[in-house]
Amino acid sequence: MKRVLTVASFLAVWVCVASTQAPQTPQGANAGQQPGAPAQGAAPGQGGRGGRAPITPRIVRFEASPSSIKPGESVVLSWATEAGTPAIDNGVGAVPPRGTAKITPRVTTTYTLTMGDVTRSLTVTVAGTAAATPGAANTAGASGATQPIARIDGKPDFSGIYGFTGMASLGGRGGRGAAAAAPAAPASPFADLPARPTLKPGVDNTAKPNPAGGTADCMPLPADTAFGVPYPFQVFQNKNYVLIVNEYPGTFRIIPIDQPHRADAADDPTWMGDSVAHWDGDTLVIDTIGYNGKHSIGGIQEPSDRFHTIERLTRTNAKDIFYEIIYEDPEKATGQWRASRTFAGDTRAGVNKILEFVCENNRNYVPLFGPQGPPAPQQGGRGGLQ
Amino acid sequence: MSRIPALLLVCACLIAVAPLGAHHSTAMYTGSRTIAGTVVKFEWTNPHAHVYIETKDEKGATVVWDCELMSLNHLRSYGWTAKTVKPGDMVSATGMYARSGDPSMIASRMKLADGREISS
Repeated sequence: MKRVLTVASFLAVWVCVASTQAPQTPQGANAGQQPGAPAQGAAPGQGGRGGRAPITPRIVRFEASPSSIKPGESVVLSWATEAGTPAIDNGVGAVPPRGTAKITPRVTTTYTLTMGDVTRSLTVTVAGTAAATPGAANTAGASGATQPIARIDGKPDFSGIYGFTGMASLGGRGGRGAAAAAPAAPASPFADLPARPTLKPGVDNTAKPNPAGGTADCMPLPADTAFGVPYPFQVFQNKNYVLIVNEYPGTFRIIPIDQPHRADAADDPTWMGDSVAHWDGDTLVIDTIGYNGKHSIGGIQEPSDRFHTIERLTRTNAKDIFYEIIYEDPEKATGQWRASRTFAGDTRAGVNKILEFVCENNRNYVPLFGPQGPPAPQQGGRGGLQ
Repeated sequence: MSRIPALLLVCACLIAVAPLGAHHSTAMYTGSRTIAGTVVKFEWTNPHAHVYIETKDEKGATVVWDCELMSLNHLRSYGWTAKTVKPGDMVSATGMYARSGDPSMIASRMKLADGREISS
């Protein structure tokens, strides 16, 4: 029964997150409202946030410039949509609600922008060529999971944007950034670890977050806790460093490869801890110590100064990452425990960076609960992957 | 205890308090209502944007509602910019309202001055 309730809890949380998220978060430089967009009413819906009313999806604009080219020349597709998850066929793929994409069709090709039941098509004419076979990949530069894995100095390159990709990614198993159809998880020496910590006797693990929610204070979210929010993260990598930047709440980790921890890391703890990395074959292993314990992570409230995480990143294809994290806190729990998920790379055309997020206007939400106050604190910490 | 009712109970409880937009839960809000009036201030800020709408209550008194919207990056995905609303605009907002009774709500959609409805 306990297991059933736990599974139900996770599913319900994901359902809630899915029902309240934007169709897509645009990272393209061209995101924004289009001047002169024709007014169009939307279908009335029910409920507020937590019961978000659906707005009728519509395609405001879908154009090609120029619409006729010579072989080898390029065309810029531009589009503007509302209230949906748009995609363009012929190798362009999922795209932000508004944006542009430079394409080089080899033959005369009809492109269709699809957003649910709404579609709009245009044809790019390539001089001297016949119309393309419908459904064929006629566009150079098409992205996908079938490409070879990029490498840096012989090791997999994890560079890219990973993040919430809309409700389509949920599929009953996902959440923020989860791959829609994740390949089988690679073998891991930690695969048999439990999913929850085994607390030592007498450890008080009562939650002490902001009653408005554990992420409501805009404080940094270390390690996997950063993946429990619907904002993307971006990875940059070279031979000697990996840089992970989280859009919310605007934090970063600079991770040296094959270098030791900062000498005073244990005595000078920080929100994100001190991370270094090494390679285990093609798996990038990130070892982090020196957490300041001011947060909830891996099911532990306010971990001790001996809290330690090991993150393992493995490419499952050219765009997706299998991620697992192993936790240990010798002061508060016995042994190790683990969580894992697969992150889908965001390969939408025009998406090349995450955006700024500065918490300049945070509020105290507690008074809005009224006389009855917020719910009582619960046992158990908030983990980013849960 | 039957498993199915237990599952439904857990799901219902979590739906009521689940984080929204990840920054905070909506447990401090309840129900649903629509307000209409004139924009007096628009804060294009994270972690949430806010539109302040001047309305009249049932006794004719002026009430300014604080309408909390999503974060800027989510709003951008809905088509918003910093200029989507401005003081003086006649708008309406629909969403959950504060349990405390304060004129505060979390708006899930708005009808703009030009007649468009937009997620918020």
